[in-house]
Parts: sequence; C-alpha cells; structure tokens
Amino acid sequence: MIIKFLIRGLLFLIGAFIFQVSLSGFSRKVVGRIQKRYGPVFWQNFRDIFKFLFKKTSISHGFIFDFGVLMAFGGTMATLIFVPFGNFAVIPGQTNFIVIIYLLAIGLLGMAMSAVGSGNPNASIGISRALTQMLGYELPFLIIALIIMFTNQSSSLEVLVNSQIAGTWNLIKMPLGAVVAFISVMGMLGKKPFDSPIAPAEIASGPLVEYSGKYLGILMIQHEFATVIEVGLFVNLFLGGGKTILDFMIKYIIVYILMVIISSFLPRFKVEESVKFFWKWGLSISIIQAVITLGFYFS
Amino acid sequence: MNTKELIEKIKNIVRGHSLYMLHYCTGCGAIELPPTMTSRFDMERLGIAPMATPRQADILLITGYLSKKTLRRVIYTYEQMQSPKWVVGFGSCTINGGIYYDSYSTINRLDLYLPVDLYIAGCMPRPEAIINGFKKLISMIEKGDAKGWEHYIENKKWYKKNQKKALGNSLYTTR
Amino acid sequence: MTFNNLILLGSVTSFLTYFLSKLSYKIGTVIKTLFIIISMYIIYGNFNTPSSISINEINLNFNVNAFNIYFLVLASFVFLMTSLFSINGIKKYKYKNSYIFLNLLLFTGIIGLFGSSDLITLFIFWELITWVSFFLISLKSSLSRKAALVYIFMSMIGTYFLISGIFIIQNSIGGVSFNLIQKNIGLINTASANKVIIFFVIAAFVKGGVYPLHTWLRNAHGEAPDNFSPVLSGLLTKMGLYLIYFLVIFFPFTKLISLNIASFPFGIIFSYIGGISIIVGTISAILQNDAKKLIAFSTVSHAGYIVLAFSYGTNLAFFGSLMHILVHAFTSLGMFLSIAAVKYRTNTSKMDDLGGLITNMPVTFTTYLVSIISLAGIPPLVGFVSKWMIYQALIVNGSYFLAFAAFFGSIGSFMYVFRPLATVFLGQRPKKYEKIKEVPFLMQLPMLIITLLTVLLGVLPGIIIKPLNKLMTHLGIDPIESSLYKLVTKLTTLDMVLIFTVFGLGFLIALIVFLIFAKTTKVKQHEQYTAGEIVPELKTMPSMYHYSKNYYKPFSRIFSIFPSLESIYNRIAYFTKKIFDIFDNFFYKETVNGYVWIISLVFLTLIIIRWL
Repeated sequence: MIIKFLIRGLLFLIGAFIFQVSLSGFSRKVVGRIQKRYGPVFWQNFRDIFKFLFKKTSISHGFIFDFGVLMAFGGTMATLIFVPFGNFAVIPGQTNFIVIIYLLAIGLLGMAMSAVGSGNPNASIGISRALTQMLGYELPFLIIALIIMFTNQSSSLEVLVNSQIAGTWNLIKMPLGAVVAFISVMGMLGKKPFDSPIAPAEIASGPLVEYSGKYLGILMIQHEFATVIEVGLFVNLFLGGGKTILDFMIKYIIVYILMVIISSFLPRFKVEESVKFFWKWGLSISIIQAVITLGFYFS
Repeated sequence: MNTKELIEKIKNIVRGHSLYMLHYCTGCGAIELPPTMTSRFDMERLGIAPMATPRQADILLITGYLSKKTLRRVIYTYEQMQSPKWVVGFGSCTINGGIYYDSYSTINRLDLYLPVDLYIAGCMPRPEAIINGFKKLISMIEKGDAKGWEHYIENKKWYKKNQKKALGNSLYTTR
Repeated sequence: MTFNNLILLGSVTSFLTYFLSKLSYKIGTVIKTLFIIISMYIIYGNFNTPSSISINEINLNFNVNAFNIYFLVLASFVFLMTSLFSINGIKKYKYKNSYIFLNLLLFTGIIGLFGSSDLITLFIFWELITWVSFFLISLKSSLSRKAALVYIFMSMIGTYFLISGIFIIQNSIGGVSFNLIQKNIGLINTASANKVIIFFVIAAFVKGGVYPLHTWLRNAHGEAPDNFSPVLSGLLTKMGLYLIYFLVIFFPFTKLISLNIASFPFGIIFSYIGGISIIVGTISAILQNDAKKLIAFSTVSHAGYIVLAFSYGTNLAFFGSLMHILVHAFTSLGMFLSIAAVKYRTNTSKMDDLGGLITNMPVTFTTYLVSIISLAGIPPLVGFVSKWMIYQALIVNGSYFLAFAAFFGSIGSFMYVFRPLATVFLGQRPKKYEKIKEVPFLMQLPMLIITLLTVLLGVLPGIIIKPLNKLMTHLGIDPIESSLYKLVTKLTTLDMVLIFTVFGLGFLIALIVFLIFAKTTKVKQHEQYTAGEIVPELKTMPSMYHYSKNYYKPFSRIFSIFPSLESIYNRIAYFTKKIFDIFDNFFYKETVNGYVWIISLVFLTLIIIRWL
C-alpha cells in the first residue's frame, strides 16, 4: 500500500518536472518571438539546471544555509503530492485546499531562512520585500477561494473539480473572481510586474545573491515545482481541472503562456505600490464578486 | 571509454550549451555587448544569458583595457566565481595593450594575471565577431580543451607573483 | 490534601520563600518549582470535591470540575516552565526575593481564580491577581513603573464593571454561587441579562487585551521582567477570556449567541470586534521595532481570534477557540523564553543591536523557529489544528469578512514573526558577541519541552481533542468527531500523520539529491558579494552590513497616517485632568497664606452654621 503510493508519487514528480521544465523553456521561445528574435531551444532550461548541478565547487554559509534550501525543496515536493492533475491524484481523497496553501508557506519560509542566513544584506532586503508582497496577493485569492468552497460545501479539490465537470466552469460562473485570481497567481509566481523581490538591477537578484552551483540548481527545480502547484491550483479551481491528464495539460499550457505573454511587456511595481494595488482593486473586486455570488446562492 | 570519461563528456556538453556571463563591463568594449544580447544579434539562442553576481556566473568577460585599480577588483571577482569557469579577453588591449600600450596605469598582457581561454581581437570586435568567438569557446568546452581554471590553481604562485609585481604588493586594498 | 488547604499552603510558602531566598535565591526558586509540581498532583486528586475557606463570615468556595481542570492544568504548566527557566534566569535581577515571593503568590491566586465555584471568590482572586501582577511588572525599571500604572488603571475600569454585574446577578437571582445560578437562571429578565453580558464582556476585554481596550498591552508586556512576560501574555490574558466562557454557564448557549437571536445580536457584534482586533493587532505588530512589544501586539491579535471563534456560535468554532487558548500559551512561552535567553547572555533585546546568534545559541533558535511556525498555523504543528477548525467553521457558513480577518491574521503573522528571526538570529554577527555561549541546561529544558509538545500535539491532535470533548459535553454543547490523528469536519477529513510522513519523505528525497552532487566548501561570515568592491569593514565592523533597521519601511509608508487609539485616550485623560485642575488650584495653595485663608473660611462657615 505504502509502496504503491510511493511509486505513484515519484512518477508524478518526475513527470511534472519534465513537463514544466520543457514548458518554461518553450515560454522563453515565446518571449523571444515577441521581441522579434529566435530565442533558445525549448530544452534549454534542462541544460541550465543540470549545468548548475554539475558544478565542481559551491559555497556554503553554514548549517542553516543548507537546511533552509532542503526544507524549501522538500516542502514544495510534499505540497505537490497533494495537487490533483486531471483525474490523477497521488493519494485519492487527500487533496485539501487549505493544506496546500499552508504547505506552500513552508517553501517560502525555508528559502527565506537560508537566504538571510547567508549574511548578505541584499538577501535580507529581498526577503522583506517578498514577505510584504505576500500580504498583498494572498488575501483576494483566499476570499475568492472561500466563496468557491462555501458554494460547494467542501474544501477538497477533487470534489470541486468534479462539480465543475458536472456543471459549468467557475470561470463562467464567477468571471470577476477568475480575473482577480489570475492576477494573484501572477504575483505568487513572481512574474513582472510583481518581481520586485528578485529585481536583478536593484538588489543583485535579492535572495539568490549568495547561491552558487548545486544550490541554484535545486532552487530552480523548486521554482518549477512551485509553478506547477500554483498554476495547477488555478486550473483546478476555475477551469474545471481535467477529465484526463491531457485535458489538464492543455488548459495548463494555455494559462501559463498567457501569463508569460502578459508579463513580458510590463515594467516593475514598487513593493508598496503592489500591496496598494492588490488591496485597492483586488479586495474590492473580490468583495463585489462575493456579494453577487452569495446573493445568487441564498435566493 | 569507461564510465568516468563518458560522464565527464556528457557534463562538458551540458556545460557548453548553457553559459552564464557575468555582466561586469570593464572598459570601452562593453558597448558592443548590448547589441549582441538584444534582438538583432540574439545571443540567447546559444544559451548565453547575463547574470548579476559572480557566484552565479561561469564566464568573465574582460572587455577592453584594464586599469590597475580595476585589476584588483577583477581578481577578487574571479576568485569568487565557482569552477569550472572561463575568462574571455575582448579587444586588442587585452592581447598586447592596444592603443594604450604606453600608459602608466593600464596592463598590457592579460595572460600574465588571469588564465585566459579565448581572445577576440578587434578594436572593438563587432557582434558578429563576438558570436563567432563564443561558438569557438563552446566547441572548446565540449571537447574539454578549455582548462584555464585548472591552470590557475596549479600555477597560483606564478600568477600571484605577476599580480603583485603589477599592483605593487597590495592586492586587497581599496586604493 | 484538599483545595482550600492548597491555597493556604501556597500563601504561607510564598512568605516563607521571601525569607529563605535572602540566603540564596536558588533555594527560593527550587522550592517554587517543587510547589508547582506538588500542586498539579493535588489538583488532579481533588476532582469534583468542593471545599471552602471561612474568614469571619466570608466563605471562599472552590471546586474542580470538568470545566476548570483544563484551565488549571494549563496554568500550572505555564508556571512550571517559567519556574524552571527562572532558576537561572533571574541571576541579574535587582529584587530577586520579591520576584520569587510575588510569583508564588500569583500562582496561588491563579489557582484560586480558576478553581473558584462562586462569583465573590472569583472577584476576590481577580483583584489579588491584578495587584500582585502590578507589583511584578514594576519591578524592572522606571519605564515599567509607568506602564504598570496604565495597566492598573485600565484594570480598575474592568473591575468596577465586573462588580456591578455581580451585584445585578445577586439582585435578580438571590445568590452568587455557580450551582445556584445554573438552577435559577430563569429568574433573570432580559434587560438585566443584557446588562450583565455587557459588563462582564467589558471586564473580560480589558483583561484580555481585545480592541479597543488593548492600549495597555504594548508597554506593560514590553517592559515587564523577561521571565514574567510569558506568564503575563500566555496566562493573565486568558483570565479575562475565562470570564467570557462563564457566560456559557450562566445563559444557555443557544439563547446567547445563536445567529438568529430575536433580542440584541451579541454574537455578531462580538465576532466583528474580534475580527477588527485581529487586523489591528497584526498591522501594529508589523510596525514595531522592539521584539517584546511585537509579541505583545500579537497577543492582541490572538485574543481577537479567541473572541471571534467563541462568539461565532457553532460547536466547531467553540472547539477552535478552546484549542487556540492552548496554542497561544505554547507559542507565547516559546517566543518569550527565547528572547529572555538571548537577553540573559547579551543584556539587550533591541533587535537593531543583535545579529547572527544562531551559531552561538542553536537550541534557542530551534525553539523560536518551531514557535513561529506554529503561530503562523503551518501543518503539521499544533497551531494548524486550531486555525483549521476556525477556518472550517467560518467557511461552512460563508462569512467572508470574518474569514478575511482570520486569513489576514495568519498571513500577516508571517511577516512580523520573521523579523526577530532575521535580525537577531541570522545575518551578520557584531564583533562583541563572538564568544557568548548557550544558556545553561535548566534554561534549555523548558524550551526543549515546549518544542517537543508542539510537534507531538500537532501530529497526534487526538490527545487534546478527547479532554476538550468531555469539557464541551459538560457544558451542553455537541462534541466534535475525533480520532487520534484524524481531523474530521463536515467539509473534509484530514490525516495529520500522513502530512507529517509526506513532508518527511520530501525532505529525504531533497537530501538525497543534495548529497549526490559535488561537496560544498564552507566560507566565513565576512566573505560576501560586495559588487566587486573590497570592503575591510566586513571584518572589523560587521554590524554595519546587517540589515535590521526599518525592516518593513515600504509597508510602514502605507500606514504613515494611521489614526491611533492611544492618542484619543491620552486626549480624554488630559481633558479630564484640565477640568479637575480647577479644584486642584482651589485647594492646594503654594504659600502658607493660602492655607490660613482656607482654614479661616472653614471656621467662619462652622460658626455661621452653629450659631445661626
């Protein structure tokens, strides 16, 4: 029993890794075509990750530096086990939404601890910006998710997906909420205009400043897994998941490429501007959506 | 060949096609880098992208003349990079001093102070020449011929002697 | 030994330790610890046996039933941990004897309060605790004396409301014993019931630190002695919230706080006040610069969680609020003890002057890390269980503003608890703290116990759910479903052991991937990326490169024109003082002639009245 779940989990992780890394390499080609150039081959990100893992030396700043990276990577992989992918869930019945949102925080906390543990002030600045921005984008997303969970009386993602397959997609039932959730997921992924924590030209890539060699490789894999979790959440909540794995993959590709296209021509927000943006527009639109949906539900 | 050599060959192929250069523009040659990176002479299709810090980068580009003050910082930066790493010298000033060959504050031969893997001649080399040079570097790395960093570790005393002679026995000061 | 004898023994022992600790303070602290352990044993033995103390005609009645025992055990545990910690921790205090004596007296008072079976007994011990903690807070410095004065004044407001409520009950029902009230609850009419509820709740909010009566918390908790702050924050605020739970015994649960009540909708109002308290507490905590004041504001926000969950009305939310009391006590203990340990070695708790202490104090760091992970509510620790119950209760009924407030508290707490971690334990270490050592073993022991319990109760929450279910059936509320490691609600089922195992396996896979590739080289603290520049100050003055001041400056720019409740209270106090200054100037003169004038005026008045 345990062996079966273990094998399913490992297969899922490897499959998600191959899928997402080739997709993000392909998205570099898309950005290149938008900028009237050719762009790299679509397996370029594999080369980047393995080049970093094959480096002969790396620098470590102490125990908490290593431990934080492992905690981030392990936590993200553990969260990925709980996300349903089409009709494939690693452990059927254990796909709770609140658990996923909280386990994502372990990934951020691990990376934050290890980045600040390196001792570089640039890393501290980047982490303080990342935490401030998290307060901005999480709140509208959670209000919309709350409304979805309330109207379906369940907080398990499989139940939400099945009710959408049987009925209509949530994208059509609550369009304003879907727009707010889309922008929130762009904030979660750290894409422009919300990439002030990374900011290569201002704070020398923020939290990543003291990482080298295999640490960078591991963090790049962790970022890809986190992308799978977050975009997968959006597809499961609003686009009805998928009847099969192929169905899910197609919807996922469309959503991800749309996000990449939108973020390729936007500049960067300051941190307090992005928090104000999420609180002014995000919260007000999501509360309007909540009032409308609850009005329909109770009448 | 046995497994160790096979693994090393695969690693060299992977390393060759994904080079991150340190965006550290020393002399007047740096002006030819933005056209090489942007849409007309796209460098990203070779897998080369700029990175912010030396700990994350593989290639160090010395673009143009190198004054002695900058040489101190360049040596410090080179030692912060992680192996395997490669140094590319741009322009004639790194080969033989170029048009500043008789100046009191620039160096004439980069090869004495840092292990250079590839020189790209010109004053300044055009983007086509730069891409040509990078393609040669990639083929050198794939074959396993670019071993500048090992040369630096083995002959460290000789390099340090040259550096001290040029900088006057004070390698790590802020002067 | 019966309960009343325990109270008398406690008072006598506290006086005894005052004189004994004049020999050596360690004797006093060890006697205090042993007394607490003995009293835990006696409390268990006294289950359901009433007892009383009679002084002239006043009776103090005590009883331990299924409702009190949870609070009594929690109180004894918190005191035991701080006692163990203070065996070495009060080495540098100025007034050691008074500290030990007052602490033991406070313990007796708390046991008496939670074990009382009669409203007058409760009131007497309430006052005793308030005055003893007033003296305890002011033991540290002149700033703490001022803070203690504000504390005692606001507590007095609560006390007067409390005694008025008790008088109304006495008038309507004819007695103040709990059994009597429970039997004759029908005798009280709606108007008096509303008044009693409002008065008790105001008293509870003052003590518990719920917005808008929370302004004393920041200075009182921030300036109290370090070994006393965990007790203040983890326990004395629960004293106020304990009073709210009494409303459940007095007035039947459904009549008071159901959501479709015909008379005054108390439940909705109190839950919204709790929600606002969460938001205000979180935002103010993010803007603070001192570690202890930051944790004091987090107490405000967690008191808001408990009030929100309690007033909501469903049995799931009630359970969540009961469990949150335990969670907050543990996390408060963990955080305050770590900061007290840092202060013991470095003599400062200002976050701007410290840094990089993880290599010197790893056990302290681990305690702080586990406490903050539990505070933010991340599985598989115990903080997740209570927060999850509260969320499920809010989602089932679809109240989006309250759920927004609850999420805000959880995500915002991530911001403010990370700041002491990054500025005190990580980063660049100043040169003068290079050689400090870890705290002695007796101070590490309570920290280790708390860490272990946090993890254990998170993975196997059934250990706590069973006693709390018994408590809820005693009060007449439906218990929730429970098993050893599963959490079951109407919406879904969670398996905590599974989450813990998956997390462990993920960590293992990450470790394997990490170890396959090349080894790493360790570098010293001063080898950093400095944009190529050679910086000698990284070796001589590393604190110049430690980012700790104004950590959340962008966030504080959003709130630069935030209206403050403290300034409103200050203005009311100033205005009142100005009015009564007229009388002040009339009666208190500056020269002798003025007094002669007043005395002659009084004599003249007497003569006129007597002879005319």
